[in-house]
Amino acid sequence: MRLLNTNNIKVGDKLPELVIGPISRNSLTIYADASGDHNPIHIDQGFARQVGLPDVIAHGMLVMSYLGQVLTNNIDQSSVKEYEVKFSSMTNIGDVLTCNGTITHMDQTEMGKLLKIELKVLDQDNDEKLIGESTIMVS
Amino acid sequence: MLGSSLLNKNYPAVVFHVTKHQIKSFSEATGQTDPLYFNENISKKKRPSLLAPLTFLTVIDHKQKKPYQYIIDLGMDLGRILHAGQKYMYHHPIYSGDVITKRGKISNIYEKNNGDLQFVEFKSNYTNQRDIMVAESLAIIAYRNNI
Repeated sequence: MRLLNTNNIKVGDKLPELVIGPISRNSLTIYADASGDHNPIHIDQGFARQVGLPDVIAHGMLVMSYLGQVLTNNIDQSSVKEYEVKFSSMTNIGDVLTCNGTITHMDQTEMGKLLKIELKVLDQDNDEKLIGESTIMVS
Repeated sequence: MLGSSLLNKNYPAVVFHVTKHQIKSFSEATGQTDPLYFNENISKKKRPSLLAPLTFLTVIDHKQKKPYQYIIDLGMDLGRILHAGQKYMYHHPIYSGDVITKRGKISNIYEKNNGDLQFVEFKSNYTNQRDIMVAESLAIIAYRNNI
């Protein structure tokens, strides 16, 4: 992994974007087993229909996990101090997700360089799936 | 609102043994490519064992006997909950071989849209076998009252 050179960054810089998908049923089944999140809304089409959805939806945490790679592909994980997201809309089977991050704040503190990174996941129609923010401290 | 008397209810501590297999399979399922999550030999240069990725805490939340106990206690039906948001604060890395104790409580209950949506926040902290607090989390769950 080639990490971002934090000596040479500024507010407004974008991290390299990551494209994931299309999301498959199989990827949700594998994620359910690996994470222990067996909520049938993600794996059982019949159940999803009973609760008013056309089909199963992706686990929010799977999408948050994909987006987190925009951070850790570029920044040492030990520098990531906070990572939060809001799930704006459901992620469906077949969606292609574009994950991106933009540096919105940079401050030199006694502990090191503090960065805020705004994060976002959009689908193939540019619909927002998730927005988030991370606080980074590079010592 | 459903279960509003349960605000600030604490849940019993849950102990979780982090294995290499869990880190590898979770990393694979979430499309990770960094060898730090897969290859102990590479990992070992700077770290004691495999590093758990940022969202691995969700495995600790789910791989327990009753992961949805607070949802059930609130009287909510699993098919009507949605994960509305998630926050993590990281204090110390988690590695395979760690024994993590999770303690959590219902930290907020509120509604929006005249009660169409009810929200519950569940706050947790995670400590390792040396009693170091490794992380904190906040899960925000939305409940669809009208479907």
